[in-house]
Amino acid sequence: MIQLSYLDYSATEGKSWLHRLSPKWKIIGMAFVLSAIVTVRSLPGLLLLYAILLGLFFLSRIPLKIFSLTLYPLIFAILFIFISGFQIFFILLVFVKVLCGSTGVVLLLATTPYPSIFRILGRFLPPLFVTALFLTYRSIFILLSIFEDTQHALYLRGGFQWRNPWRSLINISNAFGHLIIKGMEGSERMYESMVIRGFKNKIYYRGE
Amino acid sequence: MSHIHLPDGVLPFWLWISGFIVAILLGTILSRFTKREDLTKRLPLLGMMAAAMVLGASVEIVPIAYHVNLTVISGILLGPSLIFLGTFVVNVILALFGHGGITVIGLNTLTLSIEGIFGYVFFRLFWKILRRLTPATFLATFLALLLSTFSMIGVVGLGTSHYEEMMHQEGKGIFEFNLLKEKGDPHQTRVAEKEVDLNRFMAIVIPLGFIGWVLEGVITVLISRYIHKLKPDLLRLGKETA
Amino acid sequence: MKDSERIVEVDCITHVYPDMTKVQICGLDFIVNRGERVSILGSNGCGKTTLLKHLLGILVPKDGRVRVFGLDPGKEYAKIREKVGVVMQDVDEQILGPTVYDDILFAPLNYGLPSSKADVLAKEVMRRLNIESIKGKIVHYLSGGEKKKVALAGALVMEPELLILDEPFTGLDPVSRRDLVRILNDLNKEKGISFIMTLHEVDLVSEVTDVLYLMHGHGDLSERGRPEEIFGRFEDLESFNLEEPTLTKLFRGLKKEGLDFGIPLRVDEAVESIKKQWETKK
Repeated sequence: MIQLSYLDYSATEGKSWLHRLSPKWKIIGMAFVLSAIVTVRSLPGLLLLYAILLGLFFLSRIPLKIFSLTLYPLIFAILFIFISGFQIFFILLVFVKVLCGSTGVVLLLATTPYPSIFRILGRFLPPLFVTALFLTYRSIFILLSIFEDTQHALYLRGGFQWRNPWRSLINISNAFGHLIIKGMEGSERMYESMVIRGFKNKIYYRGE
Repeated sequence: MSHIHLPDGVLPFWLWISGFIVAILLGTILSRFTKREDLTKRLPLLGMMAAAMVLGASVEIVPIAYHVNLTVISGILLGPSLIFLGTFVVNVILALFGHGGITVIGLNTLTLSIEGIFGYVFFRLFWKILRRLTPATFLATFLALLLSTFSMIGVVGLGTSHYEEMMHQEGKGIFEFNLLKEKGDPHQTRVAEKEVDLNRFMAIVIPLGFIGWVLEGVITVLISRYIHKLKPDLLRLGKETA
Repeated sequence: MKDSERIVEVDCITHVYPDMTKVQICGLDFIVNRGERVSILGSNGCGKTTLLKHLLGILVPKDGRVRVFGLDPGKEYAKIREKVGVVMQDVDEQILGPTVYDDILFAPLNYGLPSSKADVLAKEVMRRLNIESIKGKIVHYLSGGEKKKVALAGALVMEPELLILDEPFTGLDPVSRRDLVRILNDLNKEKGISFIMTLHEVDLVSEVTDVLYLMHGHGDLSERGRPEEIFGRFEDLESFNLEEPTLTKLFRGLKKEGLDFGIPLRVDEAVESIKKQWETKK
């Protein structure tokens, strides 16, 4: 989850022209990228799109650590190799489509604070769903600090050891159990705060 | 991997649009079973559990791509309607991180929510029959993930003719709805049939998936036992516990 | 001169926790008059937060009586909600808005205030707490001190008459603590806002308190008075798992050695006392 922290931080602290561009235009841009991914079957065309997205990625001075996020979906794309019987064209097409999609979306999230994205989504999604998105994103950061503390504690106390995989598995599972319980308790306190502050069904985002 | 995040651009248009339609319909139906006030009241809980699922997706138990799922345990704790909404939210957020496509959020939600919903149902069933936490949790998780994996295979399988087109750049447009094989050049069709082989896909996915189902089953058991030790009321097991 | 209108009254309440532990917050009646700064000192787990949650209607007593602005908060909190501002112990779960500004606007917009009015209120409270510079900051990047200020801003934006704070100084560095003390005292002086706060920092009590309650055991409210009255009773404090303030300890020690400067609670009082004695001796 360290990449999430970098991603989020990059979105809020970045100063490139892409960071300054209106979120509306970036989402529209992403919609074009998605349309291209879905409709285009020309490998050169998709490679050009990927090159453009890569160019934007590096021009926006987004931390390189985040770049690995764009490669993760390839793990699942590899499975499509087995559908195709190792057809090179098909494999390359799938890979480039996947890379365009992941690069585009990571580029969006790395240059646009999440409240801006959710706010635009709020124009056409039900308020309850958008509120759930806001609360989830907020909760990620609350739980992340708990989880990191737990991970550090486990690490310092020998909780993760390859030579003792069963013990390590128990420790990881207990860490998640701990996280879930903390999360559930935290959610009760969160709800109390919301009610005290008059919450009905919507979290408002106004921005600056 | 216990489930696969479908990417953008691979599945046919009609399939991922249907995914959205079915997901929205199902979400609407399930939310009707929950009172609006209850749903609003449980939003912070949904947020926290969805956040836990997102965090789980970041922890690799076995590199590469075997990560903790938490969908089944979340389903057990949240119940069917909330877990469906939760998986929808999780998939939107994961899609924003590049884990899974945006156009396939609907389909990813449907396959992922099968784990949560059936995890809940199987858990209740096996708990009623066995009255023992470990086997009930393990079996519920194993079966829920098995169902989810096969549903994902089914979804991928529905796009077979689309993959054939992509392989041969027939350029017939993305809106073609093809469940049945088309009549075309018999030689090309025979070649295409050999190339698109779902059995080969399944031969890889199912064994890999099996490892994931067992692993996730064990982890879910350990988590449920931990929760049972500290806060047994969360599991809503009734008076008799194991 | 403090108004003697009672705005909070708690009369021997019983609460049962989910694990069946019973707590009776009894002993003295818990009373807060308008304009008063009330602090509750007590050991961990004695029921301080439980008391506050009853005042907010989050918990409803099995027996006993709770009144806030004359109403039962368990049943009618919606009627008094705008008069009460709250800062919880763990502010992370209280800060809900994506940005600082959004979080401060959370309550006004929920209550249906027009955007323009909400903006005016938010800007005023940000100015007062000096947090205009972090207005657009995403909340998970706030420091501990900033989070407390933002939570306080969210609590103050509706211009409440009563502020409830659960361990507001925990986790703050000395400068942030001093800052918060100054802000709270200014609010009390200028706007007449009453406070109820729980805290562990005995050294701060005299600076932010008109009436001090001591709680021990499981909800036993056994002492009420001005801080100087209560801190004068050293033996009693130890039985509450509390230490006396550093200054009190110092001057009590000096008194034992024959140097009687009284028992001042604040540094300025101590300076005055020493100065007076010194000039007399001269």
